[in-house]
Amino acid sequence: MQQKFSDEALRVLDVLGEKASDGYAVMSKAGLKPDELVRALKELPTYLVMVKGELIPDRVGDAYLVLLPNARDYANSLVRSLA
Amino acid sequence: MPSSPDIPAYYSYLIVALVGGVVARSTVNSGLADYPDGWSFFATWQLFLAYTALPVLLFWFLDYTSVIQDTSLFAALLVAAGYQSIFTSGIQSISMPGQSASLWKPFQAWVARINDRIATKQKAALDEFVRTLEIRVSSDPELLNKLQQVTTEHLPEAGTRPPGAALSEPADELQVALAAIPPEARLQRFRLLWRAFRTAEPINYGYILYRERLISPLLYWWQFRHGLADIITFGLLSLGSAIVLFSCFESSFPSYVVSRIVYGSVSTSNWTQASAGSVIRYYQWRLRKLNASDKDNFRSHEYVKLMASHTNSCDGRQAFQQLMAPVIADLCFKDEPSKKVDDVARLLVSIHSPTIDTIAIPRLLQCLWTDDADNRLRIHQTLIALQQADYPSSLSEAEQKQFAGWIPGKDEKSGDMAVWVKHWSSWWNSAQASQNTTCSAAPSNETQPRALSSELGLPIVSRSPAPPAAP
Repeated sequence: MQQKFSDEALRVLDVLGEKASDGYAVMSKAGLKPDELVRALKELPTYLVMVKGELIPDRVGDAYLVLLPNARDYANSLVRSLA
Repeated sequence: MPSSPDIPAYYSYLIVALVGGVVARSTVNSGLADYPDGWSFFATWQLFLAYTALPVLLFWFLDYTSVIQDTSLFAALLVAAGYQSIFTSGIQSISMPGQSASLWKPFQAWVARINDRIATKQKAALDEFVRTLEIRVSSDPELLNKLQQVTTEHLPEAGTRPPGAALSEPADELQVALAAIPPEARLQRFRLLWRAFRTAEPINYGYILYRERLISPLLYWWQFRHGLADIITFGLLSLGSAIVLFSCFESSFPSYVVSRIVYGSVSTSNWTQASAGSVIRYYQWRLRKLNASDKDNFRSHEYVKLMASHTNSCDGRQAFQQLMAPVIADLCFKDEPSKKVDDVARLLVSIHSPTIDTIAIPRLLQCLWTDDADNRLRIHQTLIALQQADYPSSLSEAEQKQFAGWIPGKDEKSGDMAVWVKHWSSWWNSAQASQNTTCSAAPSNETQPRALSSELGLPIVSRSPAPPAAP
């Protein structure tokens, strides 16, 4: 059974599925504000997304975000459920 | 895979390494190419080398466990391209023996750790760039003004921002925030501007910084055009090419393989190339392999014949001895399969010559002590064949009949065995005495039969040139 994630978290997964990026790029592509991105990243489990950096609104842009290769298929299925 | 073309093992391993390398590059790229500077990290290359080496090791392992043969072209291609499937689920006709597939999990865990390390390094590289820029811009008021101007230009107009999509602070908000910071607090001003600029230009910020001369072309190339990754890739490829070239000169095996690829076979004029240590070791491996294919055995035998045809020179004799000594020594092992013993025995008889006998017979005499009675019989029969082929007049008809009459049995006593070994040794000493062994370069102790100890503690090899007494 698939875990439930917020719309913001799924948008983050969708962006990271294309390419690992820094927080600024993710916010821009997913249309999120810094505090929304922080919330989404706190919601996503560590087996899905790797976060290198600080999860505070002022610094989240500089964080480096990676969708873990092993979780790619699962993330895709979650994102498809959004569409 | 019986329907597969049978090719020399060095081709198979080369194919596995090359195809494995291409697959490894694609695997690393799909997992890590998201990182702008992925190939500039040592960890990425570590991962690439591991992914390249894995199919080669797996190919060797599957051959060793007789799941495939390492001379099968199709097996080489399947393992190189589909090794991940072999590990995870197995593919038809190739599945990992026993619990060995569970090795994949620790490997995957290691890959995950490397992945994590690369992400950390990527973040560190980005932070380093921002720090460099911070020092450069905050120490120069002109550059700081330029950054402010560029940032303001790229901020979206407050009214034109689509609802919910925007992160950029409008220019007026930025102005208010900047006004709150004293002009001399340049570092603080830089950080505010940088966040606003990055939010406004999350993707193309590097190019804009370069275009506006806020960073040098070198820094732009280094940071945003994969300069470091290009340099490291170029350096490692150059190093790899240098190693290949060096090994071509230093070890003849690569040039031997190239000759085989270009000319199809190595002619006798290329004997120097074929008799290089690494080539000898390769064929030794093939000759000693228990599950080699028939065609592979044929190729190895052809090589032995090539080497045998050059034993009239000292170098040739030494090379032949280097090649065959361990192969013959294997016959002494108790559990050596009879098929292998037959193969080696047939090979020795087919290339027989008095010169080759000086290398083969002393070792065969030692192997008469093997615990395997069947193999002892095979070795005994090989000795008879060599004696009849090369020294037909060294034994009388009666002696020949007596030698031929010995049928080693399972319960044969060591003392009885010692008597027969002694007779063979005595014969060999007398037969060898009539030969011209003028090769001073050849180690004399290798061409002489070693003294063998009997259970009585006496040396069995008789040094007397007199013909042996009838057993």
